Amino acid sequence: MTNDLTLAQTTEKELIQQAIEGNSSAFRRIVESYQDQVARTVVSMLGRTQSAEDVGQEVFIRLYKSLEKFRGEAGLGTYITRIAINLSLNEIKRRDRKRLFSFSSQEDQDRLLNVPNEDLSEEEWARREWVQAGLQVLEPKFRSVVVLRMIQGYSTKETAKILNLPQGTILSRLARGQDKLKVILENLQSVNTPKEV
Amino acid sequence: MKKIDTYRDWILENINSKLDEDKQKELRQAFDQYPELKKYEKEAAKLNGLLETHMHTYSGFFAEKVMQQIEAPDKGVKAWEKLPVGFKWISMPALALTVFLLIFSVWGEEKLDLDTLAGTNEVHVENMMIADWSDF
Repeated sequence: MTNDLTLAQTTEKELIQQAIEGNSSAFRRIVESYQDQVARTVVSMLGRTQSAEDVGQEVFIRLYKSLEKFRGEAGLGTYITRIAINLSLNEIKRRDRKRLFSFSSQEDQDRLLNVPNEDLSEEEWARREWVQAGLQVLEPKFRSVVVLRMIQGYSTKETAKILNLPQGTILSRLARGQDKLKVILENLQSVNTPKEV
Repeated sequence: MKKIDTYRDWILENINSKLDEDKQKELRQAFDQYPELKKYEKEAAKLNGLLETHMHTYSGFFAEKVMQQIEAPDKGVKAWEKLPVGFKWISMPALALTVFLLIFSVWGEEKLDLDTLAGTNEVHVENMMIADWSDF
């Protein structure tokens, strides 16, 4: 769910102002408050890979550089998610280009990110990996809508604003994305290497 | 925008307990009009349950890494910004010297041709000694 209310609005404004003035500990608090939200978006988009962590760091570096331009019309969380989704889509394009000029059949040569220490049962872990694999097979234009709408819990209106698309497009992509993901997840239970649907 | 897509969206809102009462009422009526919505509701609840718990976190040192990158490249950017200034200080005197030498050269030769500009006008190729293989 969205972390827009993680920091009280007034505190958040103060933190942003302090960060603009060069207070690094204020910016660090922003990073700490939103890093899980960014991780959910970026890892869901890119998979549990090293580039997902690199993109996550880049999100906050871009935020730092553009803080003065942040007008506060949308919540800071929405603004950060917008950066995260755009950088993730850029990374997917970069991977596609790399794959085009590479003779390797490997989907992603990125090494896997270390798994944070979490108390998960084997079954829960397997279920998470299954969903993650399914998301990676889904086309990016559907994946981004499913991630924002169903994982991050943004409304259709907010999702449309983040992706800069009409609400009608979001609704149809969500419907098609759900159908495709359902098929992918079913296929993944029996097939190891599914093709993009 | 298809009406059925809107109802599917409302079903998601309803699963997340975010749908207001008026829309809930309209959605109940829509179930009669579009029987396929019932099936969708079941599937959406299942998929939503799978995705809702799809949590990820970065490593414990994520914030440190970000702060290091924010503080470190600042110095690099400042050094980079100095480059055009430094280039101006080197390139301008070099350009002035080149123009001076060119004018000096033209002045001395009282003519301007390609040989003068290339600095080869004194070279006579026919006078060059070429060793014969028989000399060895």
